[in-house]
Amino acid sequence: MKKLAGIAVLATAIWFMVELVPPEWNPDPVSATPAQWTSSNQCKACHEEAFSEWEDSWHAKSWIDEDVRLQSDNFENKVCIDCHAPRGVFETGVGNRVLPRSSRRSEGVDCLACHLLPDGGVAGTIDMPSAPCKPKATIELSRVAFCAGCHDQHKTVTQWRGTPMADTGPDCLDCHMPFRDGDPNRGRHHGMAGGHDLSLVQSAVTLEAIRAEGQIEVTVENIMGAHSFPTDERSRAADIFWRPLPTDPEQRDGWTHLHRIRDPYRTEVDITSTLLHALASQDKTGDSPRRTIAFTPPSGPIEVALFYKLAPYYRGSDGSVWKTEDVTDPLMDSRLVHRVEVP
Amino acid sequence: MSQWLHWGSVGCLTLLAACGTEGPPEVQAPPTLAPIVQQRLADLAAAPTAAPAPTPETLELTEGLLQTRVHGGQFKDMAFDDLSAMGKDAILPLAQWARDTSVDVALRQAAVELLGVLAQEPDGAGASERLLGLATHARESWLRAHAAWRLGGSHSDHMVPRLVLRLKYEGDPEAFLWVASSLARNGCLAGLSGLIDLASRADERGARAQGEIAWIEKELGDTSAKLLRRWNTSEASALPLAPPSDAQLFEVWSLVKDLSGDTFALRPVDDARYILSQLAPWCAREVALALLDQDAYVRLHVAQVLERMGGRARETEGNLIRVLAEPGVAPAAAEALGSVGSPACLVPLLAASQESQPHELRVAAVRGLGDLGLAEALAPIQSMFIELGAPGPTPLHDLRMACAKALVQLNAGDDAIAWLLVHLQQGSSSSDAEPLVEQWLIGGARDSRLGFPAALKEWQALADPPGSIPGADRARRRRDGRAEKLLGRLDALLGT
Repeated sequence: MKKLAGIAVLATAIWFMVELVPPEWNPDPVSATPAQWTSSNQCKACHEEAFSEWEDSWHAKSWIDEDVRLQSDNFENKVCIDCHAPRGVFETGVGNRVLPRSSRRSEGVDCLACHLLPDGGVAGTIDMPSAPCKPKATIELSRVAFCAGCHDQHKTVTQWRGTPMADTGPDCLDCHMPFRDGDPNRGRHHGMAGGHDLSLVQSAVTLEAIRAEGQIEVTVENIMGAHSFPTDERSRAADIFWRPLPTDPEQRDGWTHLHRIRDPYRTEVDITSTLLHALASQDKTGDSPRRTIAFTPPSGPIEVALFYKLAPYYRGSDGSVWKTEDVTDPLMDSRLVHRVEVP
Repeated sequence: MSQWLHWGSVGCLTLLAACGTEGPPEVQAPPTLAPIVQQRLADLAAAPTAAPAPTPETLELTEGLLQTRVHGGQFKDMAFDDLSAMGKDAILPLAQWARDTSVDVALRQAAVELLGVLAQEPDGAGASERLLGLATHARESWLRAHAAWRLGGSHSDHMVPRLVLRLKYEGDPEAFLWVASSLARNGCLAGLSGLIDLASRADERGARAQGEIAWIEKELGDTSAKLLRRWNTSEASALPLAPPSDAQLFEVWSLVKDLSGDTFALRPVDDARYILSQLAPWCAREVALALLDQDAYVRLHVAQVLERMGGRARETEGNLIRVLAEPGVAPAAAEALGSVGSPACLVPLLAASQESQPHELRVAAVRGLGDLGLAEALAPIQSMFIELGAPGPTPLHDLRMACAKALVQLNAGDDAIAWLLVHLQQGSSSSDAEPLVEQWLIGGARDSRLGFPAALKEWQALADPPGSIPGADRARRRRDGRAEKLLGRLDALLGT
């Protein structure tokens, strides 16, 4: 009986080899050497501080953030995957366009995306052969080109290269990955502060409003000027609203929309880009980092405010979507950057 | 009998794989790479689209004839003949008048009409090119629609790929209708589903769409519904569609070149991927050659194109199987094999999902097995899902999520549902888990399983209102609420 079973198995195996496997099929197609570093979670034990900073960062949320999910149609818009779950920058080459991963996508832009070397080793700021990951000092980690694969897709790095800061600094890391507590010995903060960091946004732009010849002139300026404001993500926007100065300082509504600062998506052909450009912008439009908008409000003191938005739409707490011109309480879905009063 | 043989073969493969992990498997040489794109472009020639620059005299003459064509009473036909006789000399002046917003619309429409006539000539590529420019870039939707309509009669199919891109961005239904129609008249059914949607409208546009669909049905000898199904499956190869000219092949290979690492911006890469994935099966056979191009970006993106073509690219599965030996493209090839979908893909995908393979490839292979949807993959995936539940040296969460998805796709979501519900309440994977749980419920309700219709109704009642955009907090509350409700019903649903 055992003999018969053995013959049956053998016959089936032979049939499988002959019939099912196409002639060109190679039964063992890929090198089986397992990579040592396969998840950013492996970095946590030794690099607790950096891991914790990254874990709270928007790099870590690039795959799971609700707005990203929505705007990418749950990543059915597959072009988004390339930057939201990229292969290692060193694998595709510093300064080159990134390519998408097939695995570990929920880790987003993770430790391995920046630190994993093509040979399976780990890039760091110093050589440390005694450490488990044996980091190799790799100067490219601190270069502007390192960020470009993703962040120049909307010309942020190109904008910076057109400014005097390309010669003098600051560069990407100076603003977005500063030393912890300003101390170079403590290493750089892995939170990668950007548009989600209100203080950084506040330091990038100013808002002024004056009364002149019966009108109110509102001036907004990209004073940091290292790149346009907002930049990189076309889902970002900044809105200027005004309202009569309320008697109750806690009052939230009563605002009227005045101006939107935003770069449209390709499909929004009826919208013009209104970004505040970088300093010494090479942009062919010659647009300046400073813009003044004049309007005539009813008499009486008013206040004008600049709000920053992480998504181009306004939504209420129930998820309902508002047209920008209908919004009277911008704080429903934005953050107050600056506010000025005009007597 | 054949089912048993399949099972036997899979069992053997699993057995062989399980027994064969004592030493590192033999490393196979990757396939030989070559400058395929460069070679194909050198073999082909672009369509001759140049046209003589207009002189002030030809501009004036053209305007005069156009005015006569529009307002000339009995001389209208004579003007038409004279303009046609100008041949290539008339192309650029006509395009210029068509774009000129300072002249009346009737004259501009006449210019487009004449371009359409010139595009029907054997050497009409120049006129087609100008019509294409108007159909894709004119700001006025009527002009895009007229130009696209006239392209339907063009004998130069080189414009097809760039017209396909218009489908992606065209927001005007009338212009969309004629883009889709012109594509169909030139061997590409990429706009057929949109045409069918338009034809359901009870207005004049709906009637025009019905007319175009009637023409397509007559030409291709089948109903539009069946044509659409065939277009989206391997049966597309049997559709009586015209083969591409060398000029269209040149356009296609120019797009493949756009996929290369030399292109920095993702947008043109994605546009190229979109266009190529919307073309007929001949395009799959053609671009599959580039899976062996020396540019790693080209290889990867071509695999993605084939994945997006689905069944229409079935003839390329041999090409995709071959490049499973090339680590850079293997994961994308594995996912493409699942989408391309023939039983011949099963064994390579099962092998690629084995533990000895790189994690990246395993995840992609399991996704491919789920998409392939063959019952023979069920037992290996069930085993893998269970094994991955054990603590390991590295987190393999995404591989288990791929298994869970495949189980749901293979109608065996019961095995994974408890795990999915746990993840529905965990931030990092809840957005992946939610659609899978929903798919499981829909499948159960469809199969009339006890309690599933009510559970699905309860689940759907917690959906966000149509048109709303949930923030992170609201999405979390929705998922938590859904998980809580479903956990209360789970034992009953599973019959445990």
